[in-house]
Amino acid sequence: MARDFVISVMSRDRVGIIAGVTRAILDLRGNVEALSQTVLHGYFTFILTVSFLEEVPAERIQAAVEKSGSQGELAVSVKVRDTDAARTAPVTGDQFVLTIMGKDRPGVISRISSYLSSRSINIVDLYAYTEGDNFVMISQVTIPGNLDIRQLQIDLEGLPLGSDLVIRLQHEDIFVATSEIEFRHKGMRPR
Amino acid sequence: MLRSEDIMTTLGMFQKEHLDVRTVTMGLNLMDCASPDADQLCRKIHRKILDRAGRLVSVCDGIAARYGIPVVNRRVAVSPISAVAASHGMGGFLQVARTLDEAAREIQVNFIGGYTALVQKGFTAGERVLIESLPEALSTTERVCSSVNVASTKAGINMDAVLMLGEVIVRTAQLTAASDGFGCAKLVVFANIPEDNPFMAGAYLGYGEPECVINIGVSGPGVVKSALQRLAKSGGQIDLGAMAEEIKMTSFRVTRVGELIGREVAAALGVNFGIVDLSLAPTPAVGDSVGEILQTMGITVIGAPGSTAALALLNDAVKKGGLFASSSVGGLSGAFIPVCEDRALAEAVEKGHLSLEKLEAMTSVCSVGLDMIAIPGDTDADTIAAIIADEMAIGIVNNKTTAVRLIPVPGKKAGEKAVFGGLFGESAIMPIRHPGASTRFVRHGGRVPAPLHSLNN
Repeated sequence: MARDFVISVMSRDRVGIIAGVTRAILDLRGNVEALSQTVLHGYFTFILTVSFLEEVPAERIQAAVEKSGSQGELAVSVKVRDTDAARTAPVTGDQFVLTIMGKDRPGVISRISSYLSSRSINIVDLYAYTEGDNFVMISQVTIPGNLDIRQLQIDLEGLPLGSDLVIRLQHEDIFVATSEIEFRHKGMRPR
Repeated sequence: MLRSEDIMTTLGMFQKEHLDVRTVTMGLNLMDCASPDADQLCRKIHRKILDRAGRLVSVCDGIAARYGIPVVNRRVAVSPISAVAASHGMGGFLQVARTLDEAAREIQVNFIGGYTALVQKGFTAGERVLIESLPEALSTTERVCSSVNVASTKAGINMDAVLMLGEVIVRTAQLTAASDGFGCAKLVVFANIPEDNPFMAGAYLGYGEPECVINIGVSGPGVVKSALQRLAKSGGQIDLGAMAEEIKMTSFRVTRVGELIGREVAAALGVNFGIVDLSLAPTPAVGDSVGEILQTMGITVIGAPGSTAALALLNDAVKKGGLFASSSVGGLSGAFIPVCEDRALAEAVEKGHLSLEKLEAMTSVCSVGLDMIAIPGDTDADTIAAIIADEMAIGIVNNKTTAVRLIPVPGKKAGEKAVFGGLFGESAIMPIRHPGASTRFVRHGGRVPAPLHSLNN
């Protein structure tokens, strides 16, 4: 048995899901340490890390959280949390923004992600949507320091994704600099 | 974590709105190359440019790819050659001009600036020789750019220099007649010239500048225009204050791009980062025009009443947004209105909407002056000198930089077309009213005294 867990919940979106789930966790004397949620096409999902005051079996947490919704409403998954996971990133290197835009077709995300995986490039954040016939994918990736960026850009453009898809790989600092007031270039930090 | 909306906004600026880094300009001190022997002087200049700027282009290309933003021009600006070659005669100066041209070609920069003299209060011997050498220097080299500062708020206007430059411009045009007088596009006459301007043809390394420095010129007329169009589509009554806010926010983003690229290039080359020049620099491309911004603001016909006020609002808002984005703002930092290089302005000239007089009024509220204006080939030197004098007066009285880059097009008259190509564009030739009517005034020579700094009305 353990005290630290990671819990994910998915369901059709409605008012009160987080209220119900966190109430169930509180009743088990659990403290939510971090939570992230998103809604996509009317479906709601969130992931949270929870620390309990005493050791609790995973099955009990799962049952309590499922019960906070109606019968069969919430798809719940509970795992014992490895507290070292946050400290050991899968890949170290600079963050880049990878964007793809163009005509929608099946298999783009699959092909691009398997290419990234083959180069040990880790996806940190990914968001994709379609607007009519158009497909847009925006992802933030960590690129291992030993990879040559220009070669990667050439390889990405050469992937057989369809000639009308525009793929761009750019260091994230260009987006941070243009979007965030507090951006400071490394050359401007105190020495 | 970055927001998807921010990423899309920035991407749109690069992909649809022509945002680019217009120039990465390395300022390089050449004063230590001085030598009484012309061959040795040129060897030293050549070696120093290749040593310090040899990697400029490849470093810029690498950083442009890493951030996914085009760097359109890579350039070098050197110490005023009138001082570097001060002890030499005409032959020595022309040899230096050819050396600069050759070095620029070898390191693949498209222009090298600094064939320059600062004569606002009078000439040194070297400065006089440099100005006399300009027609030949500009017509026999491809990449050498020249600037002459003939006026300042502290010194007034050196009218002897202005007269000389009237002659120089006529002669340079004649020597480059085959290219519609293009040699004159590489010469700018200034009042209050900035020491750190990265834009050609006026870039040089000022006496107060470091040994080697990277200065950046960004460009974003297209981005500003698109932002104003989006604002207009957002519905409701848009007042001018809202427009100014939108321009400020856009300028903030554009400036940040410039500073990031500038600092990266400087760090990679192990030299100082200098400044970002905020100037909105148009190109002949559709959608990359300062004139189109004025049209978006509601000035249907560029040159109509209201043009100056709209330009003043634009220029001020660009500066305010840029200054918040970076503490390293310098150079010219205003909206350029180079007629040939801006499709909407060139069109307004062709249709007769925009006169030289209105352009002159507009330059009193923006950067940088009467820029890239094609005039009839038979315009006399005294009239050109008088046009320069007027523009210099605006600069010294208003305590700002102004400049003149006129191109008399040999063999062509007002209304005919001058074509320079590439970023230099094309334009109808602008008529000059009352040529020859200022001769007696400009021929007096001497100096227009420095203006008063109190009773400012």
